[in-house]
Amino acid sequence: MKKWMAIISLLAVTAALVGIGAFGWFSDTETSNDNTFTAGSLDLKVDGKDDPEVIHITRTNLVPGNLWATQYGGQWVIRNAGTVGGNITVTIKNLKDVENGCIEPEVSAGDITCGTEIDQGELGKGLINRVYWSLNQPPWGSLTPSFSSLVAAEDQPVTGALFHLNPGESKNAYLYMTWDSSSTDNLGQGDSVELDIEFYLEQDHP
Amino acid sequence: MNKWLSILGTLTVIAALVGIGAFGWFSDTETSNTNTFTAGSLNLTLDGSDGTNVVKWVVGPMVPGNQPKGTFTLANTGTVAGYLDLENIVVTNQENDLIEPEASSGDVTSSVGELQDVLNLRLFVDLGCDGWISTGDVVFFNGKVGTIASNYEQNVLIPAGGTACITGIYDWWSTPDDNKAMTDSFELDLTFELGQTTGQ
Repeated sequence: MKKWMAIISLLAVTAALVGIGAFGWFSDTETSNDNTFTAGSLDLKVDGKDDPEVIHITRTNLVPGNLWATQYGGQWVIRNAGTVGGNITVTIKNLKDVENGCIEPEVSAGDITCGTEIDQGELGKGLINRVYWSLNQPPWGSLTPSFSSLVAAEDQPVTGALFHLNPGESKNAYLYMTWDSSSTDNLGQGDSVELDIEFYLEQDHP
Repeated sequence: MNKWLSILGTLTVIAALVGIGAFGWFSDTETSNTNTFTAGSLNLTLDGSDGTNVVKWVVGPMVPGNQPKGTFTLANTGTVAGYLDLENIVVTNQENDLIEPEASSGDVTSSVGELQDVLNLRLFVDLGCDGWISTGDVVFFNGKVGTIASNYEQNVLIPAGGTACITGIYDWWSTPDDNKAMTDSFELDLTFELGQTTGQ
C-alpha cells in the first residue's frame, strides 16, 4: 500500500513539474494601445449647398457696353466645411451659344448662323469678350487665365493660390463676363448663353 | 574483594583504551556551504517605459498622400536573453460622421469606418532603427491596416541588455475610395511580448 502511495505521489509531482514547465517560462509584455488615426475631410459647399456643385446659369437680354457693376457673370459663396485645406478649381462646361432666331438687325450685320443648334449664337464666340474669375478679398486681382470668349473658356480649369480655402473658410467667387462694345455687336441681338460652372475642391497635397 | 576491584579496574582501563581508539583514527573534513541560486530576469521596456502604456500614434486629420511612421525601441533590461513577439493586435474602426462627400462616393455604412481599408501599414524589424526599410530588415506585415493579424510570432532575439526596433510606416496612397474614409478613424492596439523561449 505504501509503495503504491509513493508511486502516485511521485507521478503527481512529476505532472506538476511538467505543468510548471509548460506555463512558467519567463515573459514580460508591454503595450502600445490607443494609437489613433483619424481622416480629415474636405467638404465644399457652394452658397451653402452640397450637390450639385455644378451651377447652371442662363443669360438673356444682354446688351453691349455694360458697366463693371452690371456684367453678366455671377457671384457664389464657396466654403470649405472640411478639416483640411484645399484649392478650388472652377471650370465652365456645357456651353450653349443660342441664336434664338435671327432678326433683321442681325441679318443686316451679316449673321448667317440662324439655326436652332446650340452653337449658332455669337455671344459666346467673342461678343462676350472678357471672361475671368476674381475673389472678394486680398490679395486683389483676377485669377488666371482669363479668356477672350466663352468658347475659349469652355472646359479650361481655372485655379491658383488665390483659390485656396482653409478649413472652415469662405470666399466670394466672382465670374466676370463683359460685353465691350464693338462693330459687330448687332450679331448678338436676341442671342443668349447657357453654361455650367463646376466647382471642384482638392485637398492640399502633403 | 581486592581481586574483584583489580579486575574491575583493568576492565575500566581497557574500556577507556577501546574508546580512545574508536575516535582517534585519521580524518579530514571540507565544506560546501553558501551555495547560491539566483533567478535571472526578463524585463521588456517600450521606448523606455516599463509597465506603462505607450501611445505611439495620434494622427489626424489625415489626407491621401500622408505617410506617418514611428519606431518602437524595445529593450531587454533583464539578465537573460528573450524572444520578441507581437500579440493582441486589435483594430477598432469608427465611421464618425457620414458627410456628403462620403455618401456621394458610395459610403453606405453609417457605423463602419473605411480608413483602415485605404491606409496601408508596413511593420518590420528595423535592424538599423532608422525608421526606413533597409537591407536585412524583415517586413512581417504589408497590407491594409484592416487586414492585420492578431499576432506575429517573430521571435526577434534580444540579448540581455540589448535592444531591438520595430517600425511602422503608414501610407495613404490615393485610391478611388478615398472619399469614403473622410472623418473616419480607427484605434490600433499592440502588445509586445518578450519570452524566454521561442514557443511562447
